[in-house]
Amino acid sequence: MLEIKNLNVGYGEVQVLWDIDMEVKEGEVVALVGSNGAGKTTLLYTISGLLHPMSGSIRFNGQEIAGLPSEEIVDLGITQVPQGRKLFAGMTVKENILMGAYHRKDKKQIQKDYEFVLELFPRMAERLSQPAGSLSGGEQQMCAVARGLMAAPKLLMIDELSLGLAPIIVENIYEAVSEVIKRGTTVLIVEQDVMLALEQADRAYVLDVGHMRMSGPAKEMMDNPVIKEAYLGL
Amino acid sequence: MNYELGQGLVNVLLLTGTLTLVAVGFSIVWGILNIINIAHGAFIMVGAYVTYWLFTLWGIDPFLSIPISMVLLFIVGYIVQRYLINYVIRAPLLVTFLITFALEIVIINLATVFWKGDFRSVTTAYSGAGFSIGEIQIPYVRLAAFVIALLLTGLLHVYMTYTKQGNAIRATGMDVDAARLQGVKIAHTYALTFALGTALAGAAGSLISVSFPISPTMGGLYTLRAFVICVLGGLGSIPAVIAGSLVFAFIEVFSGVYTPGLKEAIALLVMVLVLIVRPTGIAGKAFYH
Repeated sequence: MLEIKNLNVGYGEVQVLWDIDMEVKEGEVVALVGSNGAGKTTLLYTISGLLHPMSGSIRFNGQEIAGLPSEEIVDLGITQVPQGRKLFAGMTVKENILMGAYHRKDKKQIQKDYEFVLELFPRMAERLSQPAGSLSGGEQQMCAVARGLMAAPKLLMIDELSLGLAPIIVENIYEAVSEVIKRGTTVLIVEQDVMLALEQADRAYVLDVGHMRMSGPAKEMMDNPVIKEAYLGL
Repeated sequence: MNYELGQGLVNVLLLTGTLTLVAVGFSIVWGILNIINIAHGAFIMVGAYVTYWLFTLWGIDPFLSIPISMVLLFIVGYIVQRYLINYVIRAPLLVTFLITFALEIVIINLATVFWKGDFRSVTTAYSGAGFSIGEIQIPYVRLAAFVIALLLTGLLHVYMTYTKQGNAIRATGMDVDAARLQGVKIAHTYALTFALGTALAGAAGSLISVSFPISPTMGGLYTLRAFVICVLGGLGSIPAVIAGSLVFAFIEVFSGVYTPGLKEAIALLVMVLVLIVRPTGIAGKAFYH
């Protein structure tokens, strides 16, 4: 579904990602892990078209998307739940969630998806008319995931869902995500919390200061001594 | 009731309407695009001349020319933002500030060349007419301008809150990258926002032309007023613009009665005080609702 080859990305003169190769197959859950500053968010921003690569290729269902404007990439079916939530703080929860469907025209299906995400996050249903900026951190993350789902993505990329949240809330939100995975959405999970990501994923990639160091089935990665030492503190 | 006070309060109310329309376009452009549009008053001036020429050449009623003025300035504003300011929108505030400053000079120069520097006015058959409640005089044109100003401001509120494009504009103002991730076309949204600002300036110009004399340099005063109103009221919401306009109208009318000649100075002094006491403005910072 998503194939990345020899991707190089930088900010101005400063290169951040070197020769990245990565693949996400349809129906898969893939984890992208690595420590802070490894370039995970940069990679997601490049896939979403917020950053343009220096060189290399990103193919989505066979079509080259590297360098396309972000609105065309959203139209093709790639949506991101960004790091730090990036909600529209002064808009209500309902307005935020519906902004996710901004690029869509299928009104009936939008209404169905809206009902679905409110079932998935009943807490959002209680807070529809509140400004998103007034929500707690966990609720903001629910709102961000709900907004992402409203785009009806083929590939959903979730960046640092767990950051700064209590484990019980993280578990709660990942349960909702697994509901979405069951319905056939392909998901790319980006996490600093390596164990958490590996538990959710079929396969995983390890990004280390701009280079792709390792990849493989998530189960094997959990037992890999290098990963254990470097990321799991075992 | 004291006549001066009663008439003064009615004048404050009438002026608040016009000032709201003068400032609301300036406020959206500042709040959403982070551009302090020095050319705002020049667009108001163009709107006033559109009404003047349509009335003088073809006898079109000034109030009927408001939509024409708005459409023309919408188009101009869209083009200016899309093909000029968008290229430097990510640059520091000073760059866009200078561009709009240059734009103001160009527009005023062109207006002076083509339309001459003379003061002109739009005088209709009903221009002097009005009615009175007790001793308080209310001219029809001022009342109509007030109603239309509030109507347009209300429509803007409805557009920003309940339409998809309006929501996209607000979202872009709050977090441009997050808006792009939802598929919002940023170049178009920026141009649309600026065009809304200039269209509202055009409407304000049309309304002003029925009550006040117009000239190519009339706009500077309105840019200044819009600026002070945004600082007074706070940036980024329509209620803030109304609050700022009300305070400004109050100062302008009553200092005009008791300390004529000092009204601009007093308005600016109040602005400085507000900046010290409450830097976010009376209504605080919000984003378009």
